[in-house]
Amino acid sequence: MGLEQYRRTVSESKRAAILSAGRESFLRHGFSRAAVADIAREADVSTATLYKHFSSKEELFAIVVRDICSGFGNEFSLASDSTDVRQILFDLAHAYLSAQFDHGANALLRIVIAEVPKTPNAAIETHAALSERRHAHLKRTLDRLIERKLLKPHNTDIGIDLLSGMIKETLIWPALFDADVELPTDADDIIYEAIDTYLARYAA
Amino acid sequence: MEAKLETYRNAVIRTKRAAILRAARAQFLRNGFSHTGMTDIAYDADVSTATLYKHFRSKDILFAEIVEDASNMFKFAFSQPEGDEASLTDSLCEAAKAGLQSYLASELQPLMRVVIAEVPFAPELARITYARITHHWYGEAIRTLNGLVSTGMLKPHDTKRSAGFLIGMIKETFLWESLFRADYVSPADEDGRRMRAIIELFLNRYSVNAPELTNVVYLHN
Repeated sequence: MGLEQYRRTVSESKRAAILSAGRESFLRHGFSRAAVADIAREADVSTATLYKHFSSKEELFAIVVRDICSGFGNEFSLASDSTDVRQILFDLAHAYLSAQFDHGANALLRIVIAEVPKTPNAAIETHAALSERRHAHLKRTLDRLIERKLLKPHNTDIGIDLLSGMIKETLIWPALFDADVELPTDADDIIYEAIDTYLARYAA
Repeated sequence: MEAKLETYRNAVIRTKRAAILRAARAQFLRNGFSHTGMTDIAYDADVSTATLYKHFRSKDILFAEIVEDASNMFKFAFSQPEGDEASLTDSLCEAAKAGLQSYLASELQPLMRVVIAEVPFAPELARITYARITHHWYGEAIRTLNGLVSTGMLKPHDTKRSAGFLIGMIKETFLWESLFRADYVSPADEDGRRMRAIIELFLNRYSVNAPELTNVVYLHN
């Protein structure tokens, strides 16, 4: 291995360690209370190294948010040729809930909401990275289902709020107010009933 | 003379109490619950800390009172329509709109952010507050829906779940984004088509004239 390549590998692994320590720290303490010095210590690097990789706590936070969100919203391929709309929507709902509960999105929402008075941009950017991107993805999916004549033509911007609202009320909102909340055992029932309520009106 | 003095005293007490609640609310919104001190509240309300503690034994109780006052302002007043499904749709739209307005006017929404911010620091407070607020909403909504079931306008069904759907659709459409922005203004919905879409979806499923679900089950097969 050349020296140059060795250096690059070390630098990359340090960067990854900082990101992972940053993620841990932000999710546990929130943005304002997370300390750069602690993050550096956890990542086993000096604060100077940390600042070489990330110019500020804000930048580190923004990249942590982007990383958490980058996997979300693309779980479902538009190319699917399934005609089972009920199942398509069910799978989408599951991918969404898995992101929220298994991949830290609920915790992320809580911390950026907490920052609204002090760091308003963190909340606005996270909302854009998470909710707006998902909304756009869901809209493409529903519009595609309309094109394929599996759903009646309707205003999908409004439709998305109806479908997600029914699911989020019982499955997401309580988790914003309680870090220990888990999905209830009848979560699938609720999802199916929400989807059926939606399809009763909008299925073609 | 005695009676007059008594009235005066009561008026002073009421004024002080109101000043405390106002000051506390502003402090909580600005600094959060954990970072607000009772002395700061007393200072802003222009009362002594002794007076403050005479009115509210603890910061928890003071906070609970603010939330309770705000959440009691939410009303889902609904008068049974005479006649057909169209008038049921209209009256439910009106009631839901008025309910949403009463909620926005209560200014409970910014307090929701304060409560969420406390999840790591005062988890019990966050849990209890959310439970209290939703209990009040659900009580209002379920009462209305049960009334509509008993007069034969809605199918008999699990009204706790359908209340959740109704509340959830309204929250998602009009309130979700405001969790992330202090300056967010809820969509005006001047033509009422957002609220109408919510109510129509709801009635299409639960009204006594709604098709049975077998109509959509085939999609699963």
